Amino acid sequence: MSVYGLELALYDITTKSLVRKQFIATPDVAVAGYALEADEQAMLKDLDVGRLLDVGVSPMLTLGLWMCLRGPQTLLDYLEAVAGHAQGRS
Amino acid sequence: MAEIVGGFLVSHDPLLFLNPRKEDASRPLAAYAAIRARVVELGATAAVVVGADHYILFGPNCLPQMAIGIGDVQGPVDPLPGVPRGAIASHPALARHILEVGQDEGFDWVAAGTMAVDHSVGVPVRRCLPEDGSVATVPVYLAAGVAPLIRPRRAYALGCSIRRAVDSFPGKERVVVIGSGGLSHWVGLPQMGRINREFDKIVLDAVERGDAESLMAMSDDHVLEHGGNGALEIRQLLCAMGATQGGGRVIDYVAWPGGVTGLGFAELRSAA
Repeated sequence: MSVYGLELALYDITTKSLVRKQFIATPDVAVAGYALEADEQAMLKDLDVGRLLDVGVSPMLTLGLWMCLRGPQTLLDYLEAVAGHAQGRS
Repeated sequence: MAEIVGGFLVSHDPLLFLNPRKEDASRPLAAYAAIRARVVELGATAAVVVGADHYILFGPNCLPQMAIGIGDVQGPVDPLPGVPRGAIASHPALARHILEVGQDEGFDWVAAGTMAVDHSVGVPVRRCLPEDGSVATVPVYLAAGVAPLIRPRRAYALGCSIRRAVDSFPGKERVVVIGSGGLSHWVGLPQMGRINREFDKIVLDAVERGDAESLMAMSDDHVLEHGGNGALEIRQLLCAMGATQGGGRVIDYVAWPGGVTGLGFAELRSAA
């Protein structure tokens, strides 16, 4: 899929509480609802924000996803996770 | 007739309210309070608040270049300590007039009958306008955070259209226009936390001179390199500058260590 398919999944997880709850409870079921390749599903389930940035996902969404799942007090952990990765499409 | 009586530029860094590093935030918060006092002094009755979506309102299924709330307004949807949420007093008649004047002039607004704003509009509404709802909000979104971005020159031209719309609105509204956008900041990128004071000074100096042309002349590549993806929000500043047509004065600038943004606050004069 294009990067937009990944972005749609991230957008839904970050902005729709029901999708987010399902992703937290049963991530395999949640990501299966999107037309994603296996490696794309893995990036999401692993919360691999560095790779998500690498493939061009908006940094607005990678940051938003992290904050939704890990909490706003974990910004420094996020920065550690994206350190050394290329700039995504903004 | 209605008139634009002034404008403001504000930052909307959510970390100012989340404050994970527990830094003293009193100085930037005082800048918001100073703007609120000026809004009251100007006798404002309505505020056009120009924000940038952060992939919160609009998803990859629809990414509008320019959007306006013409009905009910609420928010911000992203909870922040110290920023009230819920219904926001809106001004459907003025919003619809801005939309219709824009349509006549070739601006294809996206209209939202209900709009749940994010922090880019919610922070200035809750911090810069009176808490009693006496200044009604017209929320405007310009694509500055998610590509495809509105062209800076188009954002400025839209501000000029908003000015013409206010001038022709049949009423006695006293309108302020708030451009809500950060100066230098790198959102979600490995450089997040970097603040480029030199870039920020160039932007604020241009604001004080009323020199929109020099801001519009900056390429996006230049802004990305020196100000980060967050500084692409100079589009919001340009829209407010187009609406006010005057120079300005910097209220405060703080490279606040608790956040990730050069926090700039300025007042814009409305041209006679």
